[in-house]
Amino acid sequence: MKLITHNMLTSKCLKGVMTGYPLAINATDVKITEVDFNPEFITRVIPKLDWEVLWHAANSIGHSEGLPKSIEPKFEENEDFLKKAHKILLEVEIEEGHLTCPESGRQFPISKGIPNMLLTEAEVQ
Amino acid sequence: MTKTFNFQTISRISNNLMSCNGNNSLNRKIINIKYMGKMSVSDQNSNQSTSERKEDRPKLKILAFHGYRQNGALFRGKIGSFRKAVSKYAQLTFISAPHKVFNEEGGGDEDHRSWWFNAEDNTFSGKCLGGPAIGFEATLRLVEKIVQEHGPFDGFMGFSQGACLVGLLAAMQQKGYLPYTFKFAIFASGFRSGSLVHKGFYDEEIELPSLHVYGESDSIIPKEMSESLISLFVKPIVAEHSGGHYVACSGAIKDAYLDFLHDKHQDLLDEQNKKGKNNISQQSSEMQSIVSIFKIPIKYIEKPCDKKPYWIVELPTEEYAMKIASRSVLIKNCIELWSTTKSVSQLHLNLRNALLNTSGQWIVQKSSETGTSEHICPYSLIETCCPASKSFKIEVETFCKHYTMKEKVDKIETFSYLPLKGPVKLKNPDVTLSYLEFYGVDPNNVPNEPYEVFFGRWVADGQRDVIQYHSLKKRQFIGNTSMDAQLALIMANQARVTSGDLVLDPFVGSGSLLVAAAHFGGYVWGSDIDFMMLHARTRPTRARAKDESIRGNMRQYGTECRYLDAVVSDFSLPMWRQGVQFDAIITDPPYGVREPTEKIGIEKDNYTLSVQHLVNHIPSKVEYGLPQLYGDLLEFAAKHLRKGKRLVCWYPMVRDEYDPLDLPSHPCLELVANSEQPLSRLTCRRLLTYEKRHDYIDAQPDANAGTHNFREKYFALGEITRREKKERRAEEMARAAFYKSKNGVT
Repeated sequence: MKLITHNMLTSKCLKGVMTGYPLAINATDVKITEVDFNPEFITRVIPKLDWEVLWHAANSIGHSEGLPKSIEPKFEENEDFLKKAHKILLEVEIEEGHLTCPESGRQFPISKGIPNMLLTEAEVQ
Repeated sequence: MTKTFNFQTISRISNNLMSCNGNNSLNRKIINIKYMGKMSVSDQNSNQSTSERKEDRPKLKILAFHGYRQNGALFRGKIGSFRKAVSKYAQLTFISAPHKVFNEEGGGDEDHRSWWFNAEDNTFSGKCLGGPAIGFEATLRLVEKIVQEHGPFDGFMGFSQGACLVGLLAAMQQKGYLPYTFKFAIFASGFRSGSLVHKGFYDEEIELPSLHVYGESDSIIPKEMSESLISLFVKPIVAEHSGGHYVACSGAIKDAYLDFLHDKHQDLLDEQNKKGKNNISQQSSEMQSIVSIFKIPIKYIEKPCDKKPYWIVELPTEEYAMKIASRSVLIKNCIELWSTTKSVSQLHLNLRNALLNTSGQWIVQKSSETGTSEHICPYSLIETCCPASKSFKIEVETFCKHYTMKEKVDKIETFSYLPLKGPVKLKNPDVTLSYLEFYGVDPNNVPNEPYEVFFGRWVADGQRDVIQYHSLKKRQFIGNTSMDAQLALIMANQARVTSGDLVLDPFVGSGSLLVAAAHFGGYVWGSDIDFMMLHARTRPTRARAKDESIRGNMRQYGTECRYLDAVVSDFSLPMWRQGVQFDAIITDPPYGVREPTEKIGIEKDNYTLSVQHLVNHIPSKVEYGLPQLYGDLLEFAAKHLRKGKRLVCWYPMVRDEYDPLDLPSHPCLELVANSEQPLSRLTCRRLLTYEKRHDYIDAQPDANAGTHNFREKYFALGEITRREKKERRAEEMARAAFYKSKNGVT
């Protein structure tokens, strides 16, 4: 799971959970895969992110080094910043671990890079 | 035809012949997709399918006028039951009157509006006679502006003072005073205006079809006043109810509305049928999507139709043709058209004349024999291909007739008068010239001479080879219902996926749609309820390779960098953060036939799981009915699509039951394209493209989507045909045995 996905996921599906965001990350295996850098895409996606959540998520898996705590003004011209954002958004991936709902503490496992957000039939009643 | 061709003479280099490999073969291609294992049946019916396509959900557009001391929003809220009742046929637009009504303290109230006042102290009373009409001009201008911006409207509807206004507008239309038209009117508690200046309008009978509804015990507008308005109309339909001053909508009154609107709606459908709007093929909807992606100014010289495998269009420059060809998977190639005629000899004559045409312009000549006008292209078009430095080849293509290589070469030789000085080169020449003969689309009835012939310069090929490249045969990871490569690419085109778009498939399966979306530059997310599928642990359709996954597929096509993630999740429950907006949603939901329609759940009450079972627990699932599923899908799209972006999905149904009005709908989404793919003799699926037109509003789930229970009907129909088949076979065998014995005797 990439951090861009984590930035968009909630545990709202749980009964009684209001926002369910952000999910806490517990990673046992983090992998880095290099992918092509597309500054245009990164520029487009940054305004859609909750940057603070992204930074804390990066921090919780030990990849916040060098990552600014807030979006820099005129980030679209700052290639260095875009590259850092690219790396943290698209290259760092959580292979194994789990996500935890901030309100209920319910855990969602991540295996082979795919988070499993399914509830049990008992939870949807 | 002459008229449309005229602008060829003005334009410089702009005529391209788009040769889509037509309807005929496209259909066959689409139908040949392995689906439900009923290919043999579907093929027979392929010819019917296209002619049956209907226009996507046309509705009557009605402009609604509120009463005195109301406004558009207030009125909209008050007549909820009316809106709901007529929603199948009509779409209402509400506007507010321009004048504020002043209260006793002298302050203007935003919420209370009036179309005009008939007393000097800026008030209005329906019963007041002989007063002025203050502010009526401004109202007329406002209505005109609204009609210009949001119209044209099929009909006007008004209540009380609004109905009085509609009556005045109807009278004005009768006299020819209005710059716009409307075709019917609905009056709720209508009356004649008592203002002096309005008197003159009521001296003529009004022919406009009208429906009048009024209350017997209405004290504000007594029924006599309504009746006096009705007497002006030539063919009024009148519905009286026992209530007072409100827009009634119950029982018989509701039926009156529905009957009236049903007729008007039928008129609308007939009109559109006449216009030939009905046959929107897959090609043209793909084309329209592409044209809108690149904002290409396109002019149709010949309106595209199902009977011809090519389109003739005008484009400003060659680059636009290349752009279109770079996206389209249905176009075969684009050709700069030099000449097109009905006969081979005329084509040669035109080309010979073109060699002499040094004016730099197109010339239109009247042909004495046929009486049609011939278009001679400027020599400059041909000249660019002539230099000795440019190698060339001439391609011959015949549609619906086969020629041997030798015959084709003979045809090429007939163009020997063209001053092409360069060497002939068959592989990668600098210039490719194209000669096309069109023998119609009926392979059983091929004429000796072509219907039409074309000659021009090849510009670009479409993206058909991408279909081969993406073919499921060579794809690493596929599932039971992986989408065919061509259809997936068409869907991505329909969704107008462009570079850097965020694309979601909420029923991702093996990710075929994501592969297509990523091909056009989309960054893709997928989610699916099937854990085993996303982990590639379902029963394999063929020997599993190592590392099979959606991601692996994208790696295979070199688009891994645009893979975001796949998530195991239940679509019936919310998962995405509020405010997440996608640029496209393309999906093929399960139909409940080859893939089950499921969500997490259990029938038992008060069910709990013990702790030791929680690890690796696979939750039980319950039926997630199609109506509910599509309702959720449209609601999700309305919430999570960016405005102006698209949802593209398949919708399975029984063919006979198709009615464009019964397709799933949502107030924020507009159905912009809709085409059919037959799956069997009785069933089909339709490719629906919705565009988000309005910001999300909390809407009631759509009841329409509930009318088709595809799964149940599919199996019920299957039962009948299987039994029929058995009976027919038994009958045939009996007959054969009978003849045999008969022959044996004689």
